[in-house]
Amino acid sequence: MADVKSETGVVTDERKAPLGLLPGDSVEETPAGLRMVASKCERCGTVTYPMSEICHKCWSSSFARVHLPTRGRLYSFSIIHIAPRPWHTPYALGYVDLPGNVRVLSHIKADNLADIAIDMPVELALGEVGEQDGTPIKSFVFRAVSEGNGSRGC
Amino acid sequence: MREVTVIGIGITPFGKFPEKTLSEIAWPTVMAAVKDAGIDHKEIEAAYCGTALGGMLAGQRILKPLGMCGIPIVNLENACSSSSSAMHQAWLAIASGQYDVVLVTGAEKLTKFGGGTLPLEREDWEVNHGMVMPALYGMRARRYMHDHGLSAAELADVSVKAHKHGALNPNAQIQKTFTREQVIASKPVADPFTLLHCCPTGDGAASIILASAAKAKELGARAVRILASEVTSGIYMSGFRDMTSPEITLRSSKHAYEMAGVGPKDIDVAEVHDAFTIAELLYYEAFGFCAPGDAYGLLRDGTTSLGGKCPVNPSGGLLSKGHPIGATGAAQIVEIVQQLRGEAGKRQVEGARVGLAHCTGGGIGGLDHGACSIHILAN
Repeated sequence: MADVKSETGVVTDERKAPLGLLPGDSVEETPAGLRMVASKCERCGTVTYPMSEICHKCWSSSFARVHLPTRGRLYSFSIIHIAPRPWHTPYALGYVDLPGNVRVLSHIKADNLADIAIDMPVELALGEVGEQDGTPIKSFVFRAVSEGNGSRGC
Repeated sequence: MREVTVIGIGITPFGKFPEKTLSEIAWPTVMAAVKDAGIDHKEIEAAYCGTALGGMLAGQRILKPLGMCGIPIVNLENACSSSSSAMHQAWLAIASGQYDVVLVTGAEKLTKFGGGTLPLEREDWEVNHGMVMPALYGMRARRYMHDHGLSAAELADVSVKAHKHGALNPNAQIQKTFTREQVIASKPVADPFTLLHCCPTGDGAASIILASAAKAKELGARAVRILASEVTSGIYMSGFRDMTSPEITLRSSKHAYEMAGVGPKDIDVAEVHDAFTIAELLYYEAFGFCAPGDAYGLLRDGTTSLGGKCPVNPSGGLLSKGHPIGATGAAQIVEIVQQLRGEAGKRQVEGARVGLAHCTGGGIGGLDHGACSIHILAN
């Protein structure tokens, strides 16, 4: 009996996110610009993104909603050429280290993927990362800090 | 805890067998292990089956054609560490005195998914945002290259060695050698990896029969001693983590060495989790074979090649032998047992006395790996 082929990589997580982004995300528009919303444990101060209902360090369920800094440093990255639906290949994925000891996996955007470098400063933006059934998938992304964008705020 | 030994092994060639079921791929390895142990299959008191994506009741589906159902069968999943986790449970069952003879089997049929990257758990936040295993390892590689000055050419040498060994293994999925240039020129997957930096997708199975040392003696079986059996999970970190320092393997190897009463210098042969080239280098360091940053030196001077002081992945490793993920843990142990028995043919590590098998299971965000399992064996 032949095994049934199963779907790979299709985003089917049913949870909804504000701004219609990928499930599990909490990102909002503020007067100062786009912000990622994280949970900060009121007992031990650990900050986690995506948000959590329980602190993995101290088990407190008391959290403050905090905005993450919008600038960080790219710890490492990879440019992906082979991936399942719905991602647009090639795409760059990287770990961004933000002040406050938060590390976030993010699509990394640049005019030229070849210019992406380890330890480069990156800043938060909104971007398109894939497509599902003809609908573009948007997500928070981080991109190379553009010169001459003075006060982006934090 | 009682002493536990391996008395039988069986393995199938790894490759692509879409026309066979998981059961058809795996049951011949059970039969081979039973014959190798020289026992009647009815002596097996329990079975532990490791498979990551093999579906429900995999162990029962594998043992049914052999008429071996009716004993306790437990199916385990720990991603790529599934069958080494099964080995750990089997070891524990005998060491604790519950059973005298048990079966471990590891099996996977990845060709049922077609090609492409491994289908990871969609509820994981990172997977939902585009993470694929080659990218995760690619990031480790990029950071290591940045921190320690390793070049793309040097990284490719891990694949060159793996395929050199695999070419000597009649069960390897890929039995072909490649030059550094060919490795670099193969199809880009997730930079800095090209196809030959990545383990191939495939199918396969391996089985092991364990017995208490006393029972092995009673049976007059060839026994390879298990000095350490270790399983652990990765620690979740929401902030900074040094991706060049594999915390799960560092912790796990420390426990395994302590349990076995050996150190890095005592290991004569090792099978480590080289799912992607960078992994092998990180593990030379994590196991204490060299200092952090010095891994390439061991490769360059031939220490970890057949003929060297401590050959790593003489089977060809995951890169060349293949990585049907649920089968890998058991397959690595089969290789080590063959080495310790002196049955590894062209891949034989001369005078091997102590061997180490290590695999990790990854694929969820915030953890170095989800699982890690290490076995240390001796003849």
